[in-house]
Amino acid sequence: MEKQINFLKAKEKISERAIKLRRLVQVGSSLFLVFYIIIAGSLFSFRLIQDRQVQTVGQKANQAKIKINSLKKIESLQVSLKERLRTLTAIFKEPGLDYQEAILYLEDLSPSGISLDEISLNKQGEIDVNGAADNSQVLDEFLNALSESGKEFESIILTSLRNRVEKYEFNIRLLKETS
Amino acid sequence: MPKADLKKLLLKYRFVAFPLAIGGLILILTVFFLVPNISQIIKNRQELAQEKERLASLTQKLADLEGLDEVELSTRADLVLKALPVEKDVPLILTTLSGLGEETGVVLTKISATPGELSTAAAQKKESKTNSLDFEITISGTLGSITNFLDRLVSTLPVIQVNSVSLGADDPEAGVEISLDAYFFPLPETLGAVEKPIVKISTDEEIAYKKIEKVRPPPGGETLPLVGSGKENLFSF
Repeated sequence: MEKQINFLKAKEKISERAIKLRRLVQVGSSLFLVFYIIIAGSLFSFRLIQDRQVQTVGQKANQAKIKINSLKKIESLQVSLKERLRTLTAIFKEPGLDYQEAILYLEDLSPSGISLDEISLNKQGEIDVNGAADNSQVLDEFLNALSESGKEFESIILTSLRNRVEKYEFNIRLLKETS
Repeated sequence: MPKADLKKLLLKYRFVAFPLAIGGLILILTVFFLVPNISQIIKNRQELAQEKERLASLTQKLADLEGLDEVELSTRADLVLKALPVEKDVPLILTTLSGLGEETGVVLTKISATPGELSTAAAQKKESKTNSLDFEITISGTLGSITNFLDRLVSTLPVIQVNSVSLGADDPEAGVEISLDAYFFPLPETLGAVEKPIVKISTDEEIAYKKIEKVRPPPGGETLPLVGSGKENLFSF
């Protein structure tokens, strides 16, 4: 039997490996190209769908805008109503002038011998009382009564006191507590 | 390098030409196609989100507007306009005061006001804080009628608030001085952007509306009667 000795075995082995590598590079690059095209195509399609969506949503928004413009009269009525009611709410929230209560309160506290000539009240809660007392004792009694029951007032100020013939003219300022 | 060697080298690495061509193609595609596409996708995404938001607010506003009854709104707006006139309506206030005086039995002995500029635009610039017209009136009557007058005054249309009262405690017949604020409010000049949501009436404002709804209209008509009088030509006898 004849035996053959292959002296090129090592070289052939190297060239086989090179061929494999070449094939791998070629097939791999082709596959990569295909994969890249798929990805790029998908992104392009996605972009087209997005463009369409943006367009559709924009169209819908414009249609709604047109409808809103046709209802401008209702909107202007609502805006006008809202602004006026807001102003009215602010006006109504301002403190009111409780003149009746103040007058009754002062009348109740005045002992005989005190005459109240003028009472001025304002929204800030200031009450100016001008009056006259028959004598200093009655005036003292009135001032005491005001201070003792003066929990409603922040301060009671005797702004002026004049001694006239047989009477004392006085001016008192009462400041109501601000809640 | 000799020419023969170069040729040999080129032949040896000929197989790299195809992958290199693909690489070049991919590079070109990436620069001129893929990158612009990706940036457009990002831009579209933001735009879509904004458009969706705009659509949602517009749809909501449209639904709100369609839910409003125009007739009811007109009725309410008319009543609120009576409560808070568009401009300084001095004749209306005078009519209201004299009407209330007649109704309650008090005598208006003095009315004074300094309305200033009557045009709303001119008045608005100067009075940015509160739009009110100050009146000083002097009335005389019994204590009961004065009290009644003051009570009716704060519950009439247009809205009037009492600022201060100065009365002779012993003799109200001598005259009670009252300082009043009559309010006005100009119409809004603009409605704002279309995308802006519709303003809704709050509970407090609803309460304020209920309050003026209960108020009786001013006595003696809403405005002074327009009676044609005087000369047609001021400059001729």
